Amino acid sequence: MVRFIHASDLHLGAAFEGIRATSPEVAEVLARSTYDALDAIVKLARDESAAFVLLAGDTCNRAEGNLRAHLALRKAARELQESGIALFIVFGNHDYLAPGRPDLDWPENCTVFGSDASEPVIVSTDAGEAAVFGLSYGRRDEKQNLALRYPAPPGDLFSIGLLHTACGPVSGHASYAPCTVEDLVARGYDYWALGHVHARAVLRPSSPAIAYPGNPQGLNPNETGPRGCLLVSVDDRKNPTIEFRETDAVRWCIEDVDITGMQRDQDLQDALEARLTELQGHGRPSLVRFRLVGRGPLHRLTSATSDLSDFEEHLRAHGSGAHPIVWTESIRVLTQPDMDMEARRKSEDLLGDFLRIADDLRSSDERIAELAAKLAGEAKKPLQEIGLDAAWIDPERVREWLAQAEWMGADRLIRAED
Amino acid sequence: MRLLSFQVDGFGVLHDTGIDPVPRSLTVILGDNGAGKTTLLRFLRALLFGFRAKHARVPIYEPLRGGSHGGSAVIEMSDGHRYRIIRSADGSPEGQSTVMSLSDDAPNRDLSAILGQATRDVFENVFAFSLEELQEVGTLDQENIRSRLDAAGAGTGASSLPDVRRKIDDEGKAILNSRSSKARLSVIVAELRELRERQTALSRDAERYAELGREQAQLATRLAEAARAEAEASAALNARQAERDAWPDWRALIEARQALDAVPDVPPMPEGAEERLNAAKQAAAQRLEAVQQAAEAVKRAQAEVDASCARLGDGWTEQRVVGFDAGQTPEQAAAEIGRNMAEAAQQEAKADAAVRHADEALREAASAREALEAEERQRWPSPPRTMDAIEHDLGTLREARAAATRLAEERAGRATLEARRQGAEDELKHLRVAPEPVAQPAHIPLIVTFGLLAASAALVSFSPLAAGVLFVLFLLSAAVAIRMHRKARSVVRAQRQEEIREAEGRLKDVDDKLAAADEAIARQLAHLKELAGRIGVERASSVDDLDPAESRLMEERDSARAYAEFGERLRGARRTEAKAADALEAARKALAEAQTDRAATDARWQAWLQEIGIPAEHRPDTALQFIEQVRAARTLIAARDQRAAEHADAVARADEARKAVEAAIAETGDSDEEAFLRHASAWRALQEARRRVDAAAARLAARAGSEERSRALEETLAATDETALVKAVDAARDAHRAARERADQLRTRDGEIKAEMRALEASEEIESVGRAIAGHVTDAERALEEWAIRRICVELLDEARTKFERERQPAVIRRAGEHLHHVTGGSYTRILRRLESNELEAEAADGTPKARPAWNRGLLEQIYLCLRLGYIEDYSASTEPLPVVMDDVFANFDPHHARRAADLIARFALGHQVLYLTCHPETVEFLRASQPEGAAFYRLTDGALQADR
Repeated sequence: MVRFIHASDLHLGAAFEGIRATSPEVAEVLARSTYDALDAIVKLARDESAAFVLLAGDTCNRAEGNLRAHLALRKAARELQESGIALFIVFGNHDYLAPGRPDLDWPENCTVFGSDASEPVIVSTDAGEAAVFGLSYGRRDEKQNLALRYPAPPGDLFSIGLLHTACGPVSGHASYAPCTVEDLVARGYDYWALGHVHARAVLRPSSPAIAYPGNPQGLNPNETGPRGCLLVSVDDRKNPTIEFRETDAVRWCIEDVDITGMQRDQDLQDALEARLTELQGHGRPSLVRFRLVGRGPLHRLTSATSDLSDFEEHLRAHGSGAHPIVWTESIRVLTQPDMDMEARRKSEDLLGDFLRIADDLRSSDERIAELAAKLAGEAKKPLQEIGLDAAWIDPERVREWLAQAEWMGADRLIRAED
Repeated sequence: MRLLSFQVDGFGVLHDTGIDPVPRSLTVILGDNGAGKTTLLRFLRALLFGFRAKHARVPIYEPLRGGSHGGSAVIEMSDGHRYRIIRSADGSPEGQSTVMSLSDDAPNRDLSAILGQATRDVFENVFAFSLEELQEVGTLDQENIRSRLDAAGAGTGASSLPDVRRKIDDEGKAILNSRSSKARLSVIVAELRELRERQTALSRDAERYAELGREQAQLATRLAEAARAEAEASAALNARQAERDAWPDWRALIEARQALDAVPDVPPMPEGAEERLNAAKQAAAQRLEAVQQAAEAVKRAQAEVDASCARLGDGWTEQRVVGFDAGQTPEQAAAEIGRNMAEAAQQEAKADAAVRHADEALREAASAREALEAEERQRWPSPPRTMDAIEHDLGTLREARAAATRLAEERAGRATLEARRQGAEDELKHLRVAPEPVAQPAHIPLIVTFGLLAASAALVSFSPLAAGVLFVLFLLSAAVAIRMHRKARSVVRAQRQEEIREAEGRLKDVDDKLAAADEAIARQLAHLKELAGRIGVERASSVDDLDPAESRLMEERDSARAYAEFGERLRGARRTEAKAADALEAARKALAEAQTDRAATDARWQAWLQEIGIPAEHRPDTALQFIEQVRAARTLIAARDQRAAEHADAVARADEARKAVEAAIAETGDSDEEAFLRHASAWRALQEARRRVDAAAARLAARAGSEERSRALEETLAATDETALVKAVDAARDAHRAARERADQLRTRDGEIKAEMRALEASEEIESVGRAIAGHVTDAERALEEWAIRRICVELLDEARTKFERERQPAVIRRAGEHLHHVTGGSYTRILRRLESNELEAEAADGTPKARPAWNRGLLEQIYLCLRLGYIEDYSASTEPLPVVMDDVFANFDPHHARRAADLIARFALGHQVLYLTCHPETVEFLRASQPEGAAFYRLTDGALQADR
């Protein structure tokens, strides 16, 4: 039985987008986390007596300059070599074969596929031989369907295609080296070890198996839950068994806390602290984003920026003293003012007009799109300077903002009345 | 809702007044200034919305003329249900409101439900207003006018929408403002720019790392060559230096060889011959010295033996000392005999002390006994009576004392009888000489009473007959009274005689008892005297007469008791004396026995001394010392014999040593010791020359490292001189220094490259910069979101106001225009709001618009009055209407406009309940002239409302 590890999108040295100020302790944990995940993969390969390890792109977060990440990868390759484990690497859009990337000597067990590779590499294992082929990105925005350039797999060997690609429609990821499941099936390989999409997904269980392992370490607040790699065991009939194994050193969580029914600040604090305590059960450092939802008197507290900052600071102090650390990344407010919005919406007054206008706007895709364009136009310069394109202000975001704007306006008008 | 009635309990000057019923249409109230019109307006506001808002600083109109603060009203809702609203004071600014349902089927409503969306602001500014509010509104600018109107329609505060919009817009601009470097996004973007520049710079680290790697590879080759050259130069330097260092050794070798050639050859000395001779000579000398020392020791030991024998005394020779035998344990024998002697002497001394002590005790006992006998003779010249005799007399005395006591009791009884006899005699004498007692006339008052009664009756009736009857009765009464008196006197006399007889009997009885008492006293007295005589009392008639005898007997008894005790002491002294005499005798006997024992032990000691040969004068302690001296002398004799033996042995060994010296000389073949020493000296010189040659050759060989090299070195050194060697070393050193410096330069560079590469490998800055950039991007995204939310909110608010102005406020303005047309008699046809400017304009009949700045005071007040009426109509169309209260709002109108305004109000009241307050009778007349249907007119005087018929 051939056994191997399939991992991708380690993003060594990742910047952890979406995180605001953290304590030095948490910053250190985060800075180390992707490297810890790589160590976990190496350890898993040893413990499971894997024949080889596949890294399907974006192993390093940056192609240029990220010397530490490349050296860490080489160190891992050497450690695998000491255990007689082969390593196959393709580079993706993040660590593409840029001219300025570190030029390192790789150990003999390590195969780095270039952007112009043409022949599969045969790897011998105790259970037999397997053929591995891959193509790295020669440039960041690889738009070609690289899958079409994969040669036919050799003979009867178990064949693996290692590819960093947007296979089919993917959400939240740029469409690099796009391909379809049909494209992959047509190439005749037995296992497609894909990378690029950070969410774990098995597109086909067999004949051929096509899988995204997801990233071994969550990189931002939206990449919640356990993260890791795939342990693939192939029987003599080339049927793979795919198992997920956790490797994340830090875990991201999004926790919704409903303020409905809460009367006092203490009620909210108790609820948040209780969640922090629950999250310690992960047994590893956690970063949590709280989303306050629901409707109630505490909306006035949660909508006050300074009060919310105080809560954040309190929770961070509370969680950073715990073991393991549970760091409050942020508190997002999605609460609604304590009013009967539906009744207000029907009233024949300015507030009623205000709410109905928001309703009308929400119901019109065209107007939402116009509003998104208008906002993007007004924020064109800062968007460019931040590095965001105009599409960042998309209709989905505008709808979310519209809801918050509606609550904000209604709340302020009612407050002014008081 | 509309008012059906209202009642003021107490509110400012208003007290216990109201209107019932309040017309559905128009109620006109005329009152002079100060009569309470404005107070009534405030009352109606307070009734519905409280005395004042929570934080408002306005008067709450506490009652000035009595009554409870507040009042009530009965209202009717649009659905026909009726409620009573009560406003009362409870200490809070608003006061307490109570709503009571007056219809059986009326749903429960609180005040807020009744008032619907109306607020205090809406009511005060639109529904219940005075000329003051009207004028105040007139002084506001366009924006605030609109905001009040907006507020009225929106159900929010007067200035809420513009303020809310401005605040949210400001918040948005604080986040995103391209013209402000302090805007939140501007700050973030600026920092982000710097971080990215730093990131770009750090991105070149990889190139630098690769470049360093290449340089390091090239450097490795050059460094290897330089190291090899340095090693060669070092080896050359070491060789030249070795040659230079070997030169002194080379010279030493040459000189040693020359010295060896100069030394003559001699036969070899046997190995160690000279040492052996020296050792034999040294041993012979030492043994000779030992012989002398042994002879000295023998001499000293003999002197000690002689002195020791002399100390023992005459006759004590070495032979006697050696032959002295005191037995195995002379110390034990001497100690035992000595102990017996000491015990015997101790027993003798003890017995002697006991004799002296017993003799002393006997003398003391005799002296004590003699002292007691002398005291007895002194204290009791004759012996006292015995205790039994004295005790007998004391018993007689106690009997006499009892007899005396009884005698005294008899005498006291007789004295009592004597007193009783005297009393009986006195009583008898009194009874015999006392006058006869008089009977008490108890009936006389009765007679007098009847008489007075009769007299009174006669005087009253003036009837002679009655008087006669009464007189007869009076006489009868008197007769009866006299008879009763006589009978009572005879009874008293009989009683006196009886008392005298009883007293005489009692006197006789006492006399008999006195006679018996005298007899008893005589007997007791005789007995007393007989007893007293027995104890020596000659005259005794009472207890006191016995006291001297008792004292005497008590003293005598004490003396007899002391005599007895003293006698006991004397007898004790005599017994002590006898015992002491016995003890003395026993002690003397023991002393004699002890003296006998001591003599026996002394004899035994002398026998033992004679037995072992020690002079007889020795006591046990000195005898043992003597024995020790004999033993010491015997030890000295043994030591002297030992020294003599050692001396003989030393002499023998000295002779052996002398023979060994002779043998050592003979071994070398020399004839004597002098020849031996010359031979040895020549041999040592030859050996030293050979050793120096060998040592120099060995040092040179050691420098060369091997024998072969040594030969080569010798050849080299033989072919050169020292100056040439020094020059060769200097040249080699220079060459080596140059090679080393070259290699060091390359090594330094190699170290620098490695250090830089390690630093690059370990550098985390690019990652930390990346995280900082990501954090900033996140902050920027959050800021953008917050900005966008506010921007959208502002959009919604703007659209809401625009909608309000287009679809809601124009209806208000249209109606207001119609009213203005009526009030101005067609001079102004309508009111317009220009959307582009949001300003109100009044359009004249000729179509000319007149904007706010061009309005005179009358037109401004007319427009705002009409706007309010328009608002009220619009408001009431969709919401529960409220009663309208106006306080002289067209007081500033000229009569022409005032008449039209009154007509407008009268027509308006047909659809809306209006209470109009005024101090102008002509206004009342204008309103009355409009003939409003169902209108009522009241007059308000000093806080009281009265119907004005």
